[in-house]
Order: sequence, then C-alpha cells, then structure tokens
Amino acid sequence: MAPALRWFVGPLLVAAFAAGVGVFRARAERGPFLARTASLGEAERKALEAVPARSMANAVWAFGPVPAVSKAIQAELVRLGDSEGPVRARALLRLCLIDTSFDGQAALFNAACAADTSICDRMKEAGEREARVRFVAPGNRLSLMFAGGHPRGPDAVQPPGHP
Amino acid sequence: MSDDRDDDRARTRRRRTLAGVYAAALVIGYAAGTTEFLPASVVTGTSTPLARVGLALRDPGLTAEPEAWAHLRSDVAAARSESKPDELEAFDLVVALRGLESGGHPEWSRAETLCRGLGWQRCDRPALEEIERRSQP
Repeated sequence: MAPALRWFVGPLLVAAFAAGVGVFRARAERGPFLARTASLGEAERKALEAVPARSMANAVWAFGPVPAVSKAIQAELVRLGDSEGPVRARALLRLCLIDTSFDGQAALFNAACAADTSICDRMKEAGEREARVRFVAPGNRLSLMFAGGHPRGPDAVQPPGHP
Repeated sequence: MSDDRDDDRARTRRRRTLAGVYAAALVIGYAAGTTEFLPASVVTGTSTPLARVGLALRDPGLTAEPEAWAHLRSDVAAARSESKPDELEAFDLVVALRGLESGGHPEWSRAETLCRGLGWQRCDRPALEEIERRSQP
C-alpha cells in the first residue's frame, strides 16, 4: 500500500467512520425528542417552537391574574405575527373577556373576527369556549356584550356569505 | 545479520506507530462525534432545543430513556435562556408541572412554590392539576 494511503487517508477514513458512529450514538441518546424533530421542515419546526409559549399562555389563562394574562397574550400576539389566524383569534378573545370596557371588548372581538372569520357568527360559543377554561375571575364568565351581539365597525370584516 | 535485526526492529516500530495512529484516529473521531466538537447541526439536524421542548410539551405520552431526559434538561435550560425575564416563572411552572426536568413526572411541590411566587389566586393541588392539563396546547 502506498505510504500516503497508509499514513494519512487510512486514518482519516477511520476517524470519519468513528465520528459517524459517535454521531449515531449521540442521536440515539437523545431519544424521541431528537428523532422526531431532526428532519422537520421550517414550518413544522416553527410550529413546535411556538408550543412552549402557547403552553405558558394557556397555563396563565387558567389561573393567572389579569396583568399576567395580558402580558402573556400580548407576547403571544407579537410572536404570532399575522399567521395562525385561529390561534390569534383565541388570544384576542381572551383579551376581550378580561377587558372591562364595552368599547374595548367590541374592538377586540372585531379583531378576533378578522383573524378568524369562522367565529364572527358564533360569538357566544367562541367566548364560552374560552371562559370555560379560565377558573378565576375576571374572564371566566361572558360579559353582556356576548349575550347581545357586538357593534360592527365600518371596517369590520364580514365572513363570506354574511349580509 | 545485525542489519537484518535493525531492519526488523525498524519495521516493528513503524507498525506500532501506524497502529497508534489508527487507534488515535478512532478515538478522536468517536469523541468528535459524541461531544460538541462537531457543529451542532451534524448531530441535531434541523432540530432546536426549543422545538424539542415543544415536542415534549405537545406529546405528553412520549416515553424516553433517562439519558434522553437528561439531554432534554439541557434543552429546557437553553429554551429558558431565550425566554423574557418576566416569563421565566411561568415557564418554570409549566416545566415543573409537565415534569420536563424530572423524567416526565410532575414536580408538584416545586410547582406549588413557583405558583405561590407568581401570586396566583389558587395554587392548591386541584388547581395545579388543572394548570397541568391546560398547559397542553
């Protein structure tokens, strides 16, 4: 065998093989947490990366005081940007439920409706769904606005087929 | 005669040196693969610590070996360092309730301490159990 092969290429190949075995072992050690996230597309990875913030927001919504809820929801809204309409709508609905003014509630509901048009005609249902998973006041009961419907602003988004 | 012996000795020395070089290549290559010497993406692909923590929170039924949970602990630390200071306590509460640092088993007493530190209205066991359920996205 040529000396260059024996002294340089051979050891390099052995080192590369050993590194491959090492990487395989390091991956195996991390178990399903790595195995199930190692080859995700960007959108899927971003969706998973948003889970911790959503978990926190849900936990805070269940029992947290109003300032903590507002802060968590606002952070969630900033993180969401304009994507994920239904999640954004849910966050806005929660803000709506803890808002003390009728105008504020109406504006927030309009914004939620714009983010997810499917809730526009099911205002009470959507509100109840969020109130049910909050266990302390305020926000665990629907305000009068939800019983009587919300005033639509001139720029309110109408759902498809809405008169 | 003496020249032959010298040649034999030199050959033996070369063989030993070569075996040493191969052994060193093996050890160095393996160490590079298992430690953080190589770029993280070689081991983790497109995965990130935050994505792994997200997976653990999203799929509570995941079963993993103790080593995997130990690695997840360092992922939690990395995700924690990316959180805003005013979100840290709530993050720690979720981590404790979901047992991300304790092999998937909720740390109730730590969670209660954290919950009281947050000044939430209810931090009793049923409330903590409800928060645990609610923290599943």
